[in-house]
Amino acid sequence: MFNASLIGNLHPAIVHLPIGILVLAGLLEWLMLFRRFRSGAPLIPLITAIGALTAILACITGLLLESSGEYDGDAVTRHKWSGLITALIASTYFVARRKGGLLGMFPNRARLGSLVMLASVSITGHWGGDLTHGSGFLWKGMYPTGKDGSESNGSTFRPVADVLQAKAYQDLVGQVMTTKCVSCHGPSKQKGGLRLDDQSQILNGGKNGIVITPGFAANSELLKRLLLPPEDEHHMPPKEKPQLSLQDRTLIEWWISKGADFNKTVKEIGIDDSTLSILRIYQGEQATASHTYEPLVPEENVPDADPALLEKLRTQGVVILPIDPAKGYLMANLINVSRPVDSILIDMQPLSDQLIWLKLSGSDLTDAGCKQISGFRRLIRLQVDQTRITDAGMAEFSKLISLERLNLAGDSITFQGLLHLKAMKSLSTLNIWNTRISNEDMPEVFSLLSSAKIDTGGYKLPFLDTDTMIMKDTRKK
Amino acid sequence: MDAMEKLSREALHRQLELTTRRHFLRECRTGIGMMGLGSLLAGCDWLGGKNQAASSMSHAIGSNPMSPRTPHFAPRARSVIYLHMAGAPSQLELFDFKPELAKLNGQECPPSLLEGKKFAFIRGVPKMLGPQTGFRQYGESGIWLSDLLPHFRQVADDVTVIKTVNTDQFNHGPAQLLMHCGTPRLGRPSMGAWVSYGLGSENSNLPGFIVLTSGGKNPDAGKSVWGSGFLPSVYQGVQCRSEGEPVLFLEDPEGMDRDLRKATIESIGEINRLTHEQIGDPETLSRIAQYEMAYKMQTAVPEVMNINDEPSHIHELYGTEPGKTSLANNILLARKLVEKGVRFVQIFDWGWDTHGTGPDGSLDIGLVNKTRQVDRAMTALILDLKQRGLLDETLVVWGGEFGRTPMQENREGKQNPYTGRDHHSEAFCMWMAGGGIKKGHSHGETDEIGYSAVKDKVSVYDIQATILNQLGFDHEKLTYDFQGRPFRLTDVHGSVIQDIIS
Repeated sequence: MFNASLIGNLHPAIVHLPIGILVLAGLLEWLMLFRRFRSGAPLIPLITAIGALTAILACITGLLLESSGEYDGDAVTRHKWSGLITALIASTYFVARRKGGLLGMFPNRARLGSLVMLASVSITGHWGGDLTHGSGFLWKGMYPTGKDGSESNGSTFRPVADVLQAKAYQDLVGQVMTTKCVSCHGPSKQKGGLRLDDQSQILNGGKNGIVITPGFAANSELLKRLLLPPEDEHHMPPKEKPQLSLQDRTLIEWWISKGADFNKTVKEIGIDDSTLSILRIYQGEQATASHTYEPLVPEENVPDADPALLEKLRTQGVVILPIDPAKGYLMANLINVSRPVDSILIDMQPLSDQLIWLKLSGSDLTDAGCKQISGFRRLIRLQVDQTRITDAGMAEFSKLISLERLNLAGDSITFQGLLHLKAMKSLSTLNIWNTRISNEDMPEVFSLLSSAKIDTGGYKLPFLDTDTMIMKDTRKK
Repeated sequence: MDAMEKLSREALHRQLELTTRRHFLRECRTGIGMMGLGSLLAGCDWLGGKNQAASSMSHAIGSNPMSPRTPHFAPRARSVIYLHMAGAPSQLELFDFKPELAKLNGQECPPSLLEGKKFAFIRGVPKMLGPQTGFRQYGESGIWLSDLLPHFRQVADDVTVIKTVNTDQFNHGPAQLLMHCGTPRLGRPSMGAWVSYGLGSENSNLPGFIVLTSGGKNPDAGKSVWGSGFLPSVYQGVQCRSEGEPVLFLEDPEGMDRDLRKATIESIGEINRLTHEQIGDPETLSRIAQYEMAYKMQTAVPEVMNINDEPSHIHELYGTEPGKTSLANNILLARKLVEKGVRFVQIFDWGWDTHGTGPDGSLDIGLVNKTRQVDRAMTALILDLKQRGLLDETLVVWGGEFGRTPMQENREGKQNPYTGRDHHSEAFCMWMAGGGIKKGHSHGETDEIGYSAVKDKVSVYDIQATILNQLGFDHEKLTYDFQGRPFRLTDVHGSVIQDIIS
């Protein structure tokens, strides 16, 4: 039995044969300019012949695919005609290029003729690609914001000002369909004979019948396809295409169940609060909200640290690692070292460009080590909590103007020490729990470092009777 | 001529008879051996990973599987404390306030909520069950919190509550496995093992992944929820105890002093290193690292696991009593471990399975007692990490393996003797704090009876992806090649919950 649609479906595979073979023929024609390739000359007519045959085959399958009715519109027409012309050019070229043919005797004309053929193949191929991958697929990566915002495939959702006032179809459902469905179910392509780009087309359904039963969302093929698991072959949109969000599906379910009205606003149709709360996402700020995070490391890069030095430090137990593998910045933790921290910090001095996070919590760091720390002028995070530093050591920190987080918890420092932090404009977090700063000085601390979040710790939880009470079963057995 | 032919044929036959099956096998051994080796290496593809990230990871790992490593990008959290309330706490009595459900209390559950659903114990038509406790809004963020958590309200502006976690398992074991290993079946590495594999251990004397359990029972899924699966076994969680010896079988046997033990381990390590040079099995490296780690842990662990030295104000804050196995003690220990550079502390507390079949498993008795055990300690943990400047770099995660039904359980169709709820997979609550998570935030909304998510549904894989993201990992790139393909914690699912990241 002749199965037209099956053979038609082979078109996307078969088209690659004429493209490859005819391009090869054209390429060989130009290689004839070089003496060493001329031995291949007799092959050219044969290759052209095969190319022309496959081009004809591609035309036949292409026409069958078109007759399946899933494709329509200008894009298909121009692809069809250019394909037929290509097949014609290839056949003509073969006839003329045969031994004794018109071109066979004049290599220069043959080469020019091959250019015509190559151009025709390229144009047909590109227009075919437009059909499969959406218009303008080739340049997509070149223009970051989408050159063809008006085209069905690349368009983005325009947020609405107020969901309640928005037109249910025009502003919401229609937009969802335009962004997520129309590239395959629209003017240029009608997969399954279905178009979702305007009211009458949507209600007409596809070749398997209607897709929307107004008032009965659960019976509507459209919604069923959306809700199938993505792995299911009937799931829409196909797994590799942009999917509908939970909000999109809720919107369509609500719209169909309320009668699939094409003109009214959301408010006129009527909506319950919980659905409304979901659809609020279509409102401006949420729909466009994107997350930007504070970078953890500075934007500009630094040269990588000396690997030999890093290796040497690691053998001494220093945990020293890149913070971000893409950049040269380093973090260090001296939790494992057996030598005094002060002396290791001397060895680390060449890392002053790279070291931005330094953790010395609970170590034997003294004021002498603070002098070394001040050499790491780019430090952003410094944890010197529960060490032996005093106000004298704090004086050294005044040079660390990039510091953002400083942990002094458990250190024997006083308000006098904190005065050295005054120049740290970017300090955002300061821990001073369990230090010798007196309660009387605290207000001054806060006004001194007003831009920083200061944690004074000492948290207590109230004692509640229930903390230790155990409820027993008082019911009679 | 004919005779000659006969003779030569006979000679050939004789010769062939001499070739026995044994010869065949001998001739083939190289080929069979190579085939065998091929399949062996496929199972432990350690250095030849096709995946860029995986191979760079193995490059960084070198000869010491526990060496500290850099994740994929700059991390917001350096360590994780994961508090798992095994048995599944009721979200409707703790974090998800549903006043509508109170109005429906005692009414029969509508069939639309039951059709096509599976429940662990509910049969027939159960009755709706309103919240068994009061709720109020706390903090500037106005997060709803239950009266059962009188302390936790003090940190309302430090946490993000996620109300719409969704799982597809409604039995404890599979759901716990899904939560921690990314699959309801056995055999995959746990989250802590993945983190340990990705980051190594910061403290060379302690493992990167430590597990503490309380509540009288291990989680239903057994030790697989902190296992290493197909990852080298050095990455599995090390279970420590807060009572008695912290780690079982760690002390030297009687009559063996520490020097002799050290010499023994060094010799064994030397032999193992030679074996590894010959065969290249990563498990050999694991073995070396584990012996060395065990030796170091002999001194390091008793020190870090000892909470007696903590000042009294800390004990008061946490409500801890040294010498006992309790959730509070474990939570205090978790803080100590993180302070010492442990990457992943996994706490399991059993006893949250409130079906209403007995007093301990009821919402009005058992759950109240369980919340009293955890409320003060988990609040203290956040406050203590905060005052030590550790909360910014420590991600605290709290949750169960699923939620509980808005209906009262009716086991076998009969009313249970106590008030309780059945297992519920469609929506439950978790909270996170610190480690770059938003402060004072509530993510997702459930419907008016708390049955399922209506906004920002979160899958278990999303939770996993988010935890890995905070540690600096792209969950799609933290992979390990096994049985011919790269595996990852989230398998083929999961996306980072961007909305809860500060």
